[in-house]
Amino acid sequence: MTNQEALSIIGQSVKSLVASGVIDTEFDLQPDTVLLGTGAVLDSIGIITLLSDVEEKVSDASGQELYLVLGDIHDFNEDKQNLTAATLAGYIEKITA
Amino acid sequence: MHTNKTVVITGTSKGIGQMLAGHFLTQGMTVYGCSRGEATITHAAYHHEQVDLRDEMQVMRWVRSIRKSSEGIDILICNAADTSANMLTAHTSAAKLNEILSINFGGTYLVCREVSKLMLLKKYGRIITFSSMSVSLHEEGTSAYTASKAAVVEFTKVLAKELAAHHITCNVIAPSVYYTDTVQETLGQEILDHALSRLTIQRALTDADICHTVDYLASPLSAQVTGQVIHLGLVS
Repeated sequence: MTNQEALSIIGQSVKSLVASGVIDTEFDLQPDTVLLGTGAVLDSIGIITLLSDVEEKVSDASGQELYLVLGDIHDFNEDKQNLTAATLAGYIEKITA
Repeated sequence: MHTNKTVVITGTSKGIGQMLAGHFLTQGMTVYGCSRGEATITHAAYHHEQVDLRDEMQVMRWVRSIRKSSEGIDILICNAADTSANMLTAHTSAAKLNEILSINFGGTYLVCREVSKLMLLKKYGRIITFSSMSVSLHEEGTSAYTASKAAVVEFTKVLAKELAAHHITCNVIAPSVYYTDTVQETLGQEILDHALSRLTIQRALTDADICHTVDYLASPLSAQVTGQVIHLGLVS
């Protein structure tokens, strides 16, 4: 899965979670959107629901059994303070390669 | 009462878990159960998986499979437990301690963690964990088991706070004496009689005693009840 495809899936998840009311705040997802950390658009529960939804969508799209574990994403993330959409997409690109 | 809902129960091969699975099935619910062994329940609406709750990946796979074959989970009952550590602390090996903690507490923790993610997506859920009268009794020879069940209580109270804003309640049932083959084999009648003598309500629990309590905590009607421990029989 390419970085762009992963970003697209994250964007789809954000839209569906906002539409269903699971995520309260509507926002336009950009690669530099901070999902977790200073100035994050999501609260701690919001990031959990987003990762759950993205995990399912990525697994379905790739046909692989994948799990998005925050600790593993944190280890992958060079910027330990903030997790951006681009970094999450990069992590998905890596684990689906 | 709960028709068309989906319930997940751990430890359904025997005892309380098996009894509760049957109870919910008779109410028209879909039940997903697990145990380390093969299924002991045959019913069109019962789905069994052999899961070792000490294994994080097995738990994650199981919950994902439920997610794919259901429309979400309404009720989770964490019942599975290992009651085999009836020995003084001085005789309890580290391996035995870890086994008890990882099944009774670790398994509950992992299943709650994975299922609560799905409940967050639905913004609704009822989580019921099982503790034990042993937490109140402090009987000799139960240190590992009692500690594991006390951990379940404290974990559930914290989880209740984490999930409260999302309409997910988390409560604990601490049963007193409930006769199962395992309990009678493991503890023996003398210990059970002694335990009964310590209770405010000095009789063993019936299936109905447990089912009615679970029904209430599993119901939408108990929306304001969370982080509570229901002591059935109540240790005096």
